[in-house]
Amino acid sequence: MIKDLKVAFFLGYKFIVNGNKSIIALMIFILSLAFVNLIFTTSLLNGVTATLDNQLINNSVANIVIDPQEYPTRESYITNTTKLRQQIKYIPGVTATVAHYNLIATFAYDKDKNGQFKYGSWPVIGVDPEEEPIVTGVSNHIIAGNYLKIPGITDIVLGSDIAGGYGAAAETTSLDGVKIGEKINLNFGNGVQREYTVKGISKVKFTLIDQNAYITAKDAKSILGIYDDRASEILVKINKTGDEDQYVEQIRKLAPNLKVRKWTEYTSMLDSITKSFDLVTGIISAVGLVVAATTIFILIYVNTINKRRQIGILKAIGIKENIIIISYILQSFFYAFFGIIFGSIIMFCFVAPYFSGHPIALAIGDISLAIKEPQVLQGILSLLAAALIAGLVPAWRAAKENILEAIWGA
Amino acid sequence: MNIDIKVNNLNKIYPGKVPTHALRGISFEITEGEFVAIMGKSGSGKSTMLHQLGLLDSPTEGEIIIDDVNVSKLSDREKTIFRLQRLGYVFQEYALIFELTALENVLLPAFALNGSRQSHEERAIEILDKVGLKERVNHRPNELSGGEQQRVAIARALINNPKILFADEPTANLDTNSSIEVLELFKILNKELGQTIVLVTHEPDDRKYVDRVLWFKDGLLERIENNSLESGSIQS
Repeated sequence: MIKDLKVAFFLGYKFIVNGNKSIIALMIFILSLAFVNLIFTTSLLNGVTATLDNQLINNSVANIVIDPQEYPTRESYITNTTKLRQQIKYIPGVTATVAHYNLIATFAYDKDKNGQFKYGSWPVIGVDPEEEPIVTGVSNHIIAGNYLKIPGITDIVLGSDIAGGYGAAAETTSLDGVKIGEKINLNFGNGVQREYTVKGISKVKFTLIDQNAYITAKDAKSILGIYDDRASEILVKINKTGDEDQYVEQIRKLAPNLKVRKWTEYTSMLDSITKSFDLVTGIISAVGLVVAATTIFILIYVNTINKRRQIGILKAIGIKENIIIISYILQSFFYAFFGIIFGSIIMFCFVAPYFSGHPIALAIGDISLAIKEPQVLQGILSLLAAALIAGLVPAWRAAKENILEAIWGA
Repeated sequence: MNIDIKVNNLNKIYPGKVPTHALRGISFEITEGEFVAIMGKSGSGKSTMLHQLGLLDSPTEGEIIIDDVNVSKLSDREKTIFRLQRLGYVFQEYALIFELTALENVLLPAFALNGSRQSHEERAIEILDKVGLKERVNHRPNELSGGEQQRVAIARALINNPKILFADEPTANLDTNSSIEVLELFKILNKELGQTIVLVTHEPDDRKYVDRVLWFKDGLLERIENNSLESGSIQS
């Protein structure tokens, strides 16, 4: 067997070294592109999912959301929030917690100061301006003006999709260009009306978040008529995303009546988008693999079929079939190996850095490539497996062919 | 004198809508050290006969005994090993591996047989020297003339000391001078080394190089012609 392998290696090496350089270069180039395509498509879709996840965790609901109890009676607020937040903070791995006060208001803006108001309804979140930046990152995405400051009564930060004029995805439904320092009127769901001064405009590039407005918690509590230690929801930030389950369990023990959910469950629509993208990523990965495998197979198959005469000659002079087949599999591995190498260079040295510097702007944020090691490894192994089959099948068929038919092409 | 090849009632039928009966009950013997030509018109069955003898194809009926082995009963794998160990085959169109140099082409069967190239390199160079190509050992086939390529093919066929050397119209693609060189080479191999050679040719002039001629016609062995080289006469 070792003797046969030595001969197979010798033949495979010679066929590569002394073969047609243009064909070899073309084969490797095409396999490189097949590999890039395989990794790129899945990485891009991973990027969409990762951006969605990051937006939710960093700019919206943090890792864990605690809502008021639903059973046996449905409550509007969480009570004793200060004590509960302190207890949660003691759980190792919890970074911070914040209390939110959720409202909905109808916004009215008289752009031209002529009594012609433009209206729209959006969520308003009451936040503690000092604590909030530790848990959510909206304060880091102020594109005009400033974030809220204590006391900040009558100050409001508008999401860019509310303000309008900042290239928002939902521009047509916006207030059509509110400027910093201008006044807007808010009519809250409970009938309270207030006039606010626009303190800042935020834009995280995720429509769902950019359609929120932010006022101070103190202000929100006064609107809601909360004069004790209650809150609409509590957000919990933890050190390591992915470990939410264990924290959810511990928080449920602290507050068995409250509804405690991971960020993945909080927004069912986004959760379904994420799941759909995971499914699409899986399908496209599978299709990409089949395309790459088929490309390799066709290339190597055509190449091997063109070597029928050579295979016939080798058989005629007494070279065993297994030696011939192994030599062709080695050639296939050579093409696949260098296809993977050059594909990796293209991917990691050019494509990924380019998209890192020039992310794709979508309604959920800036999308760059999220390359996952297991998927790269899967791509490599799949291409090598495809190369094995692509080398084996045609060589095996040609090696089994009648010698004279192989040589003379009968 | 030992019998190298014994053919008994050999038939070859190529299947098809109209089956072609290429060989019809052929029987003959070739003894050790003989130089035999198989001749006949196109379609007479001479190349088909050589393909059966060289184990490149399988007969429909009958048996071939080479070096006391009934090769008709061998499996494909056994035939491959038998070809490698005991037979040498020279094709009309040289059939060299273009990715290998002359030396590597010659070495390949020895490498496949013994698993070592270095130990056979000296012998390969010696054989290439014998066929007049010592200076061309590192040239690839596309850098050699037709005659030179055919001589490399002959050297390759000889590397494993074959019991029998088969040559299928080896001069068909060569000019006159190259053809003479190749046939003279066969003659030397036969006379000086006692190499058994079976040659298929359609050139009547080639008869003067061989001991016997097996004349084929329409798939039948029509006649056997004994050729006395000493006197230069031909006896039917």
